[in-house]
Formats: sequence, structure tokens, C-alpha cells
Amino acid sequence: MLRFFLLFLVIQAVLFGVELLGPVQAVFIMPWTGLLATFSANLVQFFDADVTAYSNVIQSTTNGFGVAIQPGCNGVEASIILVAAILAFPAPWRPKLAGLAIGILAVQAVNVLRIVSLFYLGQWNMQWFEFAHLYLWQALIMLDVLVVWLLWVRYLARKGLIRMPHAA
Amino acid sequence: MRLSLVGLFLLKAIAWFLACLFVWYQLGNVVTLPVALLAKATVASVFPAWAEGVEKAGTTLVLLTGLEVTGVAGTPAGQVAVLTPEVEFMKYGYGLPLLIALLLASNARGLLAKAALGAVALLPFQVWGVCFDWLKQVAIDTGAAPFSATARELIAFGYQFGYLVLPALVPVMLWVAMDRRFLSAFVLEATLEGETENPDNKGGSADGQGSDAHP
Repeated sequence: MLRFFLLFLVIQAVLFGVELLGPVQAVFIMPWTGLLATFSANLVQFFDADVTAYSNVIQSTTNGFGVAIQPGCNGVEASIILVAAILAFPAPWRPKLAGLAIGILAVQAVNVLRIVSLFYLGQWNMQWFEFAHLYLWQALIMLDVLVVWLLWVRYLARKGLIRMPHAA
Repeated sequence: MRLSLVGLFLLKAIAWFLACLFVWYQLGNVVTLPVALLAKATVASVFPAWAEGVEKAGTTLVLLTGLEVTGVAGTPAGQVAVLTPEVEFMKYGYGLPLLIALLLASNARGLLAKAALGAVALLPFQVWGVCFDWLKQVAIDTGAAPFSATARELIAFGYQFGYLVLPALVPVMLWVAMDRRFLSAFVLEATLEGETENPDNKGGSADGQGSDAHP
């Protein structure tokens, strides 16, 4: 347990530090954030034509309300935590790589749900928007990471890729 | 359809979190108090030259400084103001309802003791968040205090880490450490399911790559 925790902390601190570097922000984080805004707006346009996206902003063309997706709201930190949890766990590489690919996709999918829900929540009530933005979704995204990791560990156990634990 | 242990755990965790979040939000004024005291002691010992005290206004923590700034929006040109950065504590404090929700969802033994221990264990990380938020305002947003470029980079890292990662991650790590019984039962259930579906799994993986389930 201690080895896992230490390895997990080191990996995620390093990845988080790398994420904050200027060149990484310019080459990956900002373009990814813009892409996320465009994708979210395109998704919303399936059922609401009065939505547009530019740069990292999703905006309603009817009431002008918009949300800017900032670094920190793009699911990258949650993905980093999942990556660290999977890499730190003792398992063969093939299921690790599969877990990373599927897991990051799952985290980003929930983050898109978060962005879309906040976009509509903000148009309805700004107090609820703030509450959901600052507290509710922050924790729900982390729960998502935890559940994805648990499902991955469950897969490993079912496939016999980790040994049965001793009675605790 | 039978819910798996993970599915049931997720549903219970979300339901308990919503309930705990509501109670915690109502108690905001109280839960802010210990962090205010610890943060005050921290800045007073680390920055005695300019940190003069901390005022608590509800859930907002105000750092009183001896630092002077000019060009503040809404004041006449050239007028000097004293910097008093404010931090809304609650955005660093929601880890407590999350931890209690996880403990409730996993039916942890000794819930009250673990929740109390968790609340204490979360405090340093909440103080981290509040102090680095103040520091970011002092060193980066206003540049009121003289910090080197390297120190400002470290403050930026500490602030981002304290805001984006620690508040949600630490309660999950505490839960994993406090309720290993749930994880053991969870891995055991999955292992037995796997052995029922494929008896070849018994005793580890066929390719010999099986690892210890206890990380």
C-alpha cells in the first residue's frame, strides 16, 4: 500500500508539474481546451441550435450567456490522477495501456457532461452554477476517476492478473 | 439486474455526498474556523514581516497585510491601498463531505472515529489551499511582496495543486487508506467471479504475470 501511494504521488506530482510548463500549455493544454469547447458546443447543437463556440467559450446566441473552459476545467488534472493511479498499481503493461485509453475517455466523457450541465445551469441560476462548479462537480469528477480505477482493478482481478488478497 | 459492488458503491457515494454536501454547506461558518486559526498561525510564522493577521467573515478568510499597492480599480490614480487578499474557504473544504460520503458508501467500520480522524487529516491540505491562494494574490496577481521568479513559479504550482488536485484527491486517498476492508472484499469478489467464469484463472494469471492485489 505504501509503495503504491508513494509511486502514485510522485507520478501525479511530476505529470502535474509537466502540465503547467509553458510549452506544454501552448502545444497541448490550450488547443485541447479549445477542442473541448467546440466538441461540447457541437454536442449541444444536436438538441439546441442556439449555441455557438469560439476559442474556449461556449455561448448561447439567445441570451448571450457563455462559459469559458479554463485550464483546470478541461479534465486534464482528473486524467493525470487516473494515469498515476493506473501506472502506480502493480499490473502487467497491456491491461495498463488499455485501462489508460478507456479510462481517460471515460473521464473526458463525464467532463463533457459537466461542461454541458454547467452551461445550462448558469443560464438558469448563477448561484446553483457556482455551487455545482466549485463543489459538486469537482467531487463528482474525482468519484468518476475512483470508479474507473476500481472497475479496472476489478477487471484485473477477474482475469486473474492480480492475486487474491489476504483476509484483512 | 444485479448491481455490482462498484455500481452500488457509486450510487451510494453520490447519494451520501449530496446529503453530506448540503449539511456541510449549512455548517460553513463552523468548519471554516479551525482552518482560519491554522492558516493564521502559518502565515504569521512564515511571513512575519508583512502578514499581520487573519479575519474571518463567514466562510471568507481575509489576510491582513502591511503591503501597500497602487492602481487599485475604483481608487484615484496614485492612491495607496493596503493589500488584504480574500479567500473563499469552501472551495478548499468540500473534501470532508466527500470523505464521509465514501466511508458511508463503503459501510466503513468505526465511522465516527474515521470521520473525525479524516477531518483532522484534511486540515493541513485545506490550509495549504488557503495560504497558497493568498500567496498567489500577494506575489503574482499584485506583485505586492518581493518574491524571486523561482519563488513565484513555486507559488503558482502550489496554488494550482492546492486548488485543482488536493481538495478532491486527498479525501479519496484517506478513504483508500482507512477502508482497506472494502477494497479487499471488492478484489475478492471479482477474483471469485473470474474463477467461476474461467477456472484457468485460479492461482494467478496463466502467463505468470499476476501481481499482488495489495498495492
